[in-house]
Amino acid sequence: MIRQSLVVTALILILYTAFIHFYGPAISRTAQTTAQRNLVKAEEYMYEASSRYDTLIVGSSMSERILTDSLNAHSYNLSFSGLSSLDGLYLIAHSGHAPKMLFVEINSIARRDPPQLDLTQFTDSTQHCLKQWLPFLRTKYQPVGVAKALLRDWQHGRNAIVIPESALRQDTALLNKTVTQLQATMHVAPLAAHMNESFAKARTYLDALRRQGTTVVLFEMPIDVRLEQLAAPQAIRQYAQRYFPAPDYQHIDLPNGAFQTSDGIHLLYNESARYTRYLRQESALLANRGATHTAFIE
Amino acid sequence: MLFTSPAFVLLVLITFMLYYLPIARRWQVPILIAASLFFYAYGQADLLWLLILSVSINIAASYLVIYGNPARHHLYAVLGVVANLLILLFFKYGPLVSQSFLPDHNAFGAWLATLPLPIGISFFTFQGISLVVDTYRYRDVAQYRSLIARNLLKHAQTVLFFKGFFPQLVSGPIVKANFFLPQIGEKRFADIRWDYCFRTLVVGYFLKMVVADNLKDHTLLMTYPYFEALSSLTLVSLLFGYSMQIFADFAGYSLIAIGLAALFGYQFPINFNYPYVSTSFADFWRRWHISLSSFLREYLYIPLGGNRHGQFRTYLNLMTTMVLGGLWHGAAWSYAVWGFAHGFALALERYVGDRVGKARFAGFRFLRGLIVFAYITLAWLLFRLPDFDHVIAYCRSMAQNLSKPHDMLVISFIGFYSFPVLAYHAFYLMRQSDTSLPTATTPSRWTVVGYGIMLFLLITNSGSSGSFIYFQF
Repeated sequence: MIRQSLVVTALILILYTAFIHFYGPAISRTAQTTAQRNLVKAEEYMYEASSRYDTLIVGSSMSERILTDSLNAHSYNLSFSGLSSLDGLYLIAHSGHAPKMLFVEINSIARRDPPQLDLTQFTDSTQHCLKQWLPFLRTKYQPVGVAKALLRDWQHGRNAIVIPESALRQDTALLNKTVTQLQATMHVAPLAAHMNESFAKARTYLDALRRQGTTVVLFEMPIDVRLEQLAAPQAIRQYAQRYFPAPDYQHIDLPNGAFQTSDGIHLLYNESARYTRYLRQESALLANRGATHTAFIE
Repeated sequence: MLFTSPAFVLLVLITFMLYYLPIARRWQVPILIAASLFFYAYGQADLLWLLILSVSINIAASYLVIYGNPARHHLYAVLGVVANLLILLFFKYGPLVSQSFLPDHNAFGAWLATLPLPIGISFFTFQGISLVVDTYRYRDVAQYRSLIARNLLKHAQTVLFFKGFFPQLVSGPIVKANFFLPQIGEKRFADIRWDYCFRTLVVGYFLKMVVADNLKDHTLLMTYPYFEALSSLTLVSLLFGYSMQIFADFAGYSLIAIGLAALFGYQFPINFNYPYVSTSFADFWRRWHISLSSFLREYLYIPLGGNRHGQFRTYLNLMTTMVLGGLWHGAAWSYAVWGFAHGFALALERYVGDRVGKARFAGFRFLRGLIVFAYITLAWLLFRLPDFDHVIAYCRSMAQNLSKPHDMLVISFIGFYSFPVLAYHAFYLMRQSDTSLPTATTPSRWTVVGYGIMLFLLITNSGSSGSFIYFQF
């Protein structure tokens, strides 16, 4: 019984590996949950994408809303739900590839929540080796997720973007409740010791990348106007200026005007598109300014 | 240390190899004790002393009940039980007492609130009580007396092993002393029931890692106030999914524990017997967390008087047992409410059953089964949302959000991952109704394929690893 079952398992694994080999590159967006999206993204970056993209974004679920494809053809969004920019920086540092341009979300740098994803698994050499050679071990190729992706592609077309209902419309009652909850936590600035620790850590990562030629751009994701000027976001802006002074580091300030969110901190889909446009314009301006500055020095 | 972690697998492998070494045969029990202490210390080294203290109390109490002054046997047993309960009350319910009854700025209350919850305290305390009570009950039975060694060191080793054996140390099944102690002895590699271990471990790990861990990531949506934006159907699906998750999580854990114990030659009692096919609340409690419900019946409900003192006392005893059983699950009033809800259902069922009698129609039994399942599932909300206001908000949203758009993706995933639990129960029902005698002793082709697929999904489709829900108890 045991031997027979193991043989059946081995047979299915061989067939599935062959399937991944032939159809794997055509399969995308297989994550079933937010937690899995984080895993797939980290695996994809570490095992496939680190050397392929020259523009990276690091941040939290707020920056996940950025429409990466409209920002730049060669950009990859390494923002993680429930985590912070520091986690993306950790992966970049361990990937061995420095991007040409790096966008760093400042909102979540000082986040102190317990980590929801152990990123050290992606830097472990045994796991790295196993997942390179046995792709069925990767979260991206979980059979249920793959089935979901194939079904979606068959139903909507391969490149179609399926936007969740919650990102399209605003539920005012929910928004007001979450904003009230957030006001209670954000009206107090985080402890100075925590802020210093997190920002110093970020600076260590970013200094190292700058030495390798990366242009670092710090930006702030827009949130509900009722939260924008509370003590916590104000303190974060001050620390960002102090630890990452211009012109060594480039900053993109918050745009004028209010942005609509689903829960106070996550932009609705249309607003994400608006903010992505703003980010693209501002980064182009910064790039031009940088080119002029270099020419002037020369 | 999670049962699903590589560190645990390594610990089991090393222990297993040492355990069956011919030259180490005399040291089998000490090897398991060492592995168990390492297992506990790996997760909570700073509270290992508490486990040792609890074991010491039970060593002393059980030893004195047998070998102490006969006039004081009752006193030793009472002191042993009280000491066990005091440890549990202090560490588990201290923070609840502080929050509920002491003023906000009380220094003692603030200190109580910071007490850590020792892993598995509810389980090893109950096993300790079982040891003391069983020893007192059977102190004059020669067969039982022979299990309590005259040599204090040997007895200490037995008790430490009984309470600390790692497969059941942190989440049960709660093993009674009179069930486990007679099993202690030399075990041989040739006696391992490999097929049984394989089946139990594969189903256990499948339920935990593929079903429960995947459902866990979906039922995260049951978070206040975010669930208020979801449709009624989505909310009902999530609640259904949580009901499946909690079964898969705990039944999976119990099966893993049973399979591991069997690898070392020990047998644990079954903890789940297809509980969601129950057609009454009494039936449910004979099938769900059997080791706890039988413990509560034997050591609480019957000593309280059971059903021997008239109707009113029977209902009162039922309610008391269930409320205390609810509180055993967690130090929050919502768990007491959960226990009360079950106690009320049991009492009502008994009251109605006494008057109306038992229905024999299959259709009625099916309807009753659905009602029982719906009630039990609704009560799980108190586990998922310990804040009572949030439970009310969830129920309100289920009733009011009829016009909101459904999240079909979430509903589909919950349906998909719940299917194995439904199939598990359906398989049991089919076997029940099959009256033909089994003809083959070898497993059928479908059984082999089924286990092969489960192993395949374990390797490729496990959810993000998370603690077992019952670890917190």
